[in-house]
Amino acid sequence: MMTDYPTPRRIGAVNWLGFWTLYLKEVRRFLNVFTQTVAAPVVTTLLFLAVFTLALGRAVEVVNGVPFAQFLAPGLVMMAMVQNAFANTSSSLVISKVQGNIVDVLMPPLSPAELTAGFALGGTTRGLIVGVVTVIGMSVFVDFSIQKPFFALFHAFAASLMLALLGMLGGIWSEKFDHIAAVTNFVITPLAFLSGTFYSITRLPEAFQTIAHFNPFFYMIDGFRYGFTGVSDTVPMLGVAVMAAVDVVLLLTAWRLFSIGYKLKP
Amino acid sequence: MIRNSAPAGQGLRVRRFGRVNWIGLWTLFLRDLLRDLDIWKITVAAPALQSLLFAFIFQLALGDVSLTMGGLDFNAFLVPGLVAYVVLERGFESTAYMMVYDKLEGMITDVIGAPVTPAEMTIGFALMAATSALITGMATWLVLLPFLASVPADPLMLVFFAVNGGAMLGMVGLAGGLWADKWDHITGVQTFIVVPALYMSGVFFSLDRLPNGIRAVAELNPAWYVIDGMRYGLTGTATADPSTGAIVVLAVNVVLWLICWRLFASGYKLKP
Repeated sequence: MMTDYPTPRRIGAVNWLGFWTLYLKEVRRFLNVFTQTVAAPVVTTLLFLAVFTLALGRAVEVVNGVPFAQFLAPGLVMMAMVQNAFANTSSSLVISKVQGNIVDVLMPPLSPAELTAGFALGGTTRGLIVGVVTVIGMSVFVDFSIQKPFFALFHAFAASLMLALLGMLGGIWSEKFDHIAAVTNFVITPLAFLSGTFYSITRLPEAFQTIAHFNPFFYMIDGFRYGFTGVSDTVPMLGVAVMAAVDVVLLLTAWRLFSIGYKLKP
Repeated sequence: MIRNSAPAGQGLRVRRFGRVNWIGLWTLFLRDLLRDLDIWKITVAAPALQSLLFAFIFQLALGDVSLTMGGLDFNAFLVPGLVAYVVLERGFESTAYMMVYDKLEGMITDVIGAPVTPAEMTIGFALMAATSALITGMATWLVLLPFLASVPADPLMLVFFAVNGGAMLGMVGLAGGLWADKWDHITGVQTFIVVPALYMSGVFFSLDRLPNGIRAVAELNPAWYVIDGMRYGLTGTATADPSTGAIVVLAVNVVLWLICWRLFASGYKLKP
């Protein structure tokens, strides 16, 4: 029935339009400054590849039977993806909170689940875009072959999602830029660096190898690398299970924080 | 009403100073140094931790393989490189971010409005960058002691190259900060020019690892002399002659100082 006056839009079980709008906002936010959010991490990652192969290439020729550059490259790609997925959601939330425009997200008719999905997929998208561009850039220098496409794709998505969700938790918790910078510098970067990006964990002392098996970062890097090289430090399906479980737990946590309005609503 | 605390009959007077406004210079230096140290977690602890991570990673990636680089054991090569990198990067960041922040917030008028000449501004900022870089470099060196436990072979040269390296990148950051109109510009300069130029200049590997063409270019980079000079200061071994390096670095700093002085004097992007 047509009326002369505006009526409220009817929303079904899911506010698809609202979710899509939030997602687009998150993606356009980083694409608007793509030199900082896409080009910069790609260049930095390529530099890491150059530095490590130039410094160690002659001394360390193979790792686990894989040429050093081919071993290193997937690890570096994963590191770039997770750092950027984390940066996207955490910076978005902290900036919104500090500047006060978080109300633009909290006021619209978006349910906690839609908020979680919108932010998380925005961060995941940044991780995946950075990953794809880095792989393309690296393929000029490194002989890439993708042995197990499922594992490469699964871990690229699951890891980006995981760090996007962690970035949301960190962003919701942080009250100022200092807090989130500390989380990035003292938690995320060390975990991304020390979890097998640059070496096989069989290099670690026994005790640290055991600890590594409780570290999701180890599974994402190892699983993603397995997708490329077909060589793994652990049982590949175990990594898939761990990542899926961690993502589900983080999704529920983020959803819960939005539901109760932790540090977001008075 | 302005309260006048001066003795009766004297009234308020303009402060007289001679050729150099020492109080102004000292205030400018201290203002920006304290701003840097106020966020020490980002300016001191984070670079030191980042260097420690690099040292660990190289250690683990190498495993039992023994590697000699530039006539040194790999750790002895890497530690001075990491310390030098931190000094240079901090020098750049201290002035570049300060300048862009002050410009965007409008606070730069506090500096331009003060009775400080362009020469004093340039010296104040360069010394501030050098001091900030020296503090972060010291912290990094201390954190990395487990990887290279030895007394610096030539402390005088070490400090000379660290101070001049910090000031050099500080003035590069100053010029970059003056040029930049927004954050995008200055992070672009850092990510696409400064960091690659430093990474490829003997921080992690000696230049003989590079293909010949690129090597010739890398040897023209003044930052390479700073890194090589600091490596000489810490270990006593270097690729280039340290006194040649010292002359190159000093000459580059004089040129950079003149450029920055000219930029301030002409009010480039600062005054209408």
